[in-house]
Amino acid sequence: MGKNEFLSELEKSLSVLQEDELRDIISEYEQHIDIKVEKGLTEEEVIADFGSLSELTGEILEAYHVRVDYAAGRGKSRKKSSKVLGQESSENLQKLREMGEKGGTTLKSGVKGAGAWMVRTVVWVWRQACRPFIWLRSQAVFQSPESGECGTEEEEIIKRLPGLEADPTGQDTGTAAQRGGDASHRTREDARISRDMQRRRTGSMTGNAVVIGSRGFAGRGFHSLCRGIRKMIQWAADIALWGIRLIWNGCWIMFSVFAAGFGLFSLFAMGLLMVLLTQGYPLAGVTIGCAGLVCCMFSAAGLGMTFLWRRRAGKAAASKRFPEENALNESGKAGQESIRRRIHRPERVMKARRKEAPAGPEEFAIQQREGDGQDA
Amino acid sequence: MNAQFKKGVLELIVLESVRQRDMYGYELVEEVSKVVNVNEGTIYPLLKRLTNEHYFETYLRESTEGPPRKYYHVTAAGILYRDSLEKEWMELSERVWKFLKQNISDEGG
Repeated sequence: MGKNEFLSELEKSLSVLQEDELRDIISEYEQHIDIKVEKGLTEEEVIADFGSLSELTGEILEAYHVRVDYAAGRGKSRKKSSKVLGQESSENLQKLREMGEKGGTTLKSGVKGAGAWMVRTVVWVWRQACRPFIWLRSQAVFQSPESGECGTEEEEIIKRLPGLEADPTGQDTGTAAQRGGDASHRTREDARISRDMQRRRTGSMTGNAVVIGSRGFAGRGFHSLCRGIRKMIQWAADIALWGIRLIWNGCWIMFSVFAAGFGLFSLFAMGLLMVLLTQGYPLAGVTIGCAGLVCCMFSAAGLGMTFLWRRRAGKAAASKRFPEENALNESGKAGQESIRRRIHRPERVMKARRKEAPAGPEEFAIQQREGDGQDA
Repeated sequence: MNAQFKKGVLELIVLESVRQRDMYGYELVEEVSKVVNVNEGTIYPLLKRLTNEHYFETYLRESTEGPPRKYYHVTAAGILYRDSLEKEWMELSERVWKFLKQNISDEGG
């Protein structure tokens, strides 16, 4: 076997390698043969010294961490024409595309159907859960802030509607007629009632009327039961919230402790590497990497601590809502008292409103008489 | 010499040779052949592997006798690797030598 034949055979058997690597190794063998030939040996003798070509190929491929049998298989597969390979790949691509389209359509319709079903289920469950509360609310007795009279919500609304007042004694009608004298007052009153009705229809219980009981023995029983259930739910929610906060804070504390510990370990390793670096070992890159790791770990520990769930959030919110009280009352207790007063403000406002409410027919007559006397 | 013995110790010989001075492929083959009788073709794959693993780095130098030659230079990592190989070789040879010596003395006694 001559030099050129040997090199072409070697090139063919090493075709699995990259082009530049192949050129590099071939040039090494070529140079070796040339030097040996210059020293007086023939090409055949030099090539014979290399041993069998398959063994040599195996050793070279081993140096590149390539399996010899894979290289052989790849060599066979290379015999396929590029045209055939192109056709095969385009067919495979087409098949893949079709499969993807089918799968995508099925998945899309499936997800859509499942989503609609889930929404319907959630709405149905919500409605069923709300039913007992709606019934209990219909049994509740409200106290009107204007008159102080008691009645159900529907009675209260009917009573306060200008066109639906139906008192058999005619006293309320008379009062309404007297109020009718003040057109602006009536307009404001109508607007307020309409607003209340709207609120109650939409389910918000923020009207001025106060729930003071419920109609009948069964109603009262259910009302107290409802209150007990509400307290239990509140209690359970508090416990759950406490548990969640505990788990959340525990996780973040563990994360921070782990990060800080790892940071300390990295710091120690960095010191060690710096000592080795001064002794001449090529560890500059690793040391810099270690320094970066130290910074990262301590930063991660600090970041983890910022995610802790603290109770002070509620107090901060309260101070944000009533900044003037918070500024005036430096002590925490005084601030809390102020907040409590604010919370109980609706009752005081209701009492004030009752005092300011227009007088009844008798008081109105007395006021009229007093006014006439002053005029005279 | 046993082929497996040679294969195991070849890396150490090549590393030590290049540590002494930078060499090109053929020169290195000649140098190694002085120590162990090895197939010349097997040195080039070994040089390639050691270069890929950053124990060697290469550079071209003009030659008066032909085309530019590719010279091999051992890196710091290569020196560390060579030291570890030397240590392993010394331990192994010492243990094997002790074992053989002990067996020989047992048979004599």
